[in-house]
Amino acid sequence: MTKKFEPKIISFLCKWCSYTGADLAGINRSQYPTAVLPIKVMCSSRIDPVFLIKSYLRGADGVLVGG
Amino acid sequence: MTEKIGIYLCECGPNIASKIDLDRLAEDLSKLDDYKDKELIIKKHKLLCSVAGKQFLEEEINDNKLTHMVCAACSPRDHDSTFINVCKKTQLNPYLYTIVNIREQVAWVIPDMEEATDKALKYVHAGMNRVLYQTPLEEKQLDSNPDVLVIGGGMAGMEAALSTASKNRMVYLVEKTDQLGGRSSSLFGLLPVQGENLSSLQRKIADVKKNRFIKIFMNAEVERIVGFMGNFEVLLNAKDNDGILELITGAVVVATGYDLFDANKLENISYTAEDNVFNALELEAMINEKKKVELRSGKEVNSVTLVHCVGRGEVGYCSKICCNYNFKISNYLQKQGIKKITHLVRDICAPTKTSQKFQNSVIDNGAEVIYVDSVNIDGEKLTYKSRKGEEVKLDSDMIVLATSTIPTKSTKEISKLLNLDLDEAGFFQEAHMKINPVSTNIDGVFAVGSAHGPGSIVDALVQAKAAGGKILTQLIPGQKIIPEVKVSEVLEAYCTGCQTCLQVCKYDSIYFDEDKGISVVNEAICRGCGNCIGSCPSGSIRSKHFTNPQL
Repeated sequence: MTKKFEPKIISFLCKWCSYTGADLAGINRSQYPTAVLPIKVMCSSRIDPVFLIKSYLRGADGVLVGG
Repeated sequence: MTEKIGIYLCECGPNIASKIDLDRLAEDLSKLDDYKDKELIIKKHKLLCSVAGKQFLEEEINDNKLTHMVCAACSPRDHDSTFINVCKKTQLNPYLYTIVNIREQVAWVIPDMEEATDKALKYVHAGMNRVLYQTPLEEKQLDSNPDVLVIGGGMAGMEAALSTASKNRMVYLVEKTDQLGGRSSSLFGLLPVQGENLSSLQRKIADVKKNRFIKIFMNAEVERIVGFMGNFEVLLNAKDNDGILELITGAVVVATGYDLFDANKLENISYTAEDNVFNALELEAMINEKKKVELRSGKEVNSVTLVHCVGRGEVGYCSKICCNYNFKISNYLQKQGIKKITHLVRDICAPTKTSQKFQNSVIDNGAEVIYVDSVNIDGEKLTYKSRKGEEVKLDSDMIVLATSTIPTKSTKEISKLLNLDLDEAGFFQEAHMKINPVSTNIDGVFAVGSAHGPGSIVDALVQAKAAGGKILTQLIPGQKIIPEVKVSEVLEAYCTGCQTCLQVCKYDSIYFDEDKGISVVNEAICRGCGNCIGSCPSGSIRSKHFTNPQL
């Protein structure tokens, strides 16, 4: 029996908006899969395209940039 | 030396402990393969942010001589600074600590305890990896200048100057024209409830002039401003005061006022300077000068039509003051003995607690109010479309237009000089409508009065006082400023001098050093967003505390 595929998602979240949004999701007790792994950045403009490629190379199935 | 990492798991009362199995988490963390050669101290605590919790952390850091610390607790928005302050009391550099958010982003979003514990493990593990890449950073202190630059000598600007000028704080008041008072000084009077005549304005002008801590520059304009809160370098072009001069101030208050919309720009309105059509400010000026209302020919006026909301549809907002001043004019005309007064309105705005009563009193005295859909003016011929859709011709000796208030040219110029955000209409955008209503997107710069949006003299005074209060609490004479530590830095050896970063920096914090041929970051202005880092082609800019390996 194979386990159902669950994509591993790396999310880069802006400290000011989307990271706060993720906090809000917690405060509202919303639920989302464990496979979303957030990384806080000072601003989404900080994201170097290399980060995205590195994420995929290290096994991520999807990358989300929130800002 | 082996790293000694202290990992503290916060139960947060039942908030975390009931959702994450902290004992298993601690056990799994202690078994991590990649940390076999490091010394780990893993403990849990009921509430790290409590007085006892902070005491506990302080003792842990000192007793164990920790080299790094990870706190698995709530969102950094809640208690990052709490734990940074604990570090500051010890030998541990606060930038060798990190908080891991296992409450908002784990405990509260994952109902299954097993899954939540697994995710918390990944999270804390990532935090441990990150903290090892972190480097100690030191806070710097900069001298701060408490003085204030006020741009605009109208009601708002003068009030801001008066509320901040003191023995320890000079105020430089810059006015473009040759007189203080701004638009208010061209009015014939205020609303009857405000005391009618302009004596309060005259008193304010006198107060400003005699205050020895306010230096007034008339016929002067600001040429350039660079800097940050506590240290703005200002270049003034002051014709009356030896031409170009330099000032240093700590804060800037922008009070650049308003202009009136040109009604002739509208399709349905066209008139010339010979016609007896006036905008409200022109009529105010006439009353101020001649102490009565008369036609351009000098003849007596028997009937006046006042048109409200001219340009409101085009600019897209209600100017808030026009209904009140139209009724003020109406009240004046009634006193002069003019019987036939007609207001053509689309809506009536009665914004303050006294407006409605005042407007009704003018209507009770005989002013007629007609609700219309549109108004056409060709020379002195006026027709309007009634609410029922009928075209009606209305003859009168004089037409007064209450045109919308719009931002001045200076507002646009100053916004470019200081990098200030403007709203859709072109007024200064406040930092936050409810939390920071007179602050702008730049720290230390405040926008007050009509430059901030249409409003009455009372609004302008309130805003100016609010900005004054902010300055008094934020810029204390003698106090040092501690700028953000987590900023960008340019690695000189790698920088090619392409200046891409100069274009992307939203805060103008990067300048180009011609001698060295490289870009340099002004750490006092940099907010650490990292826009420059992402766009640097040679990879020569680094964000302290958000370096690539740390992420």
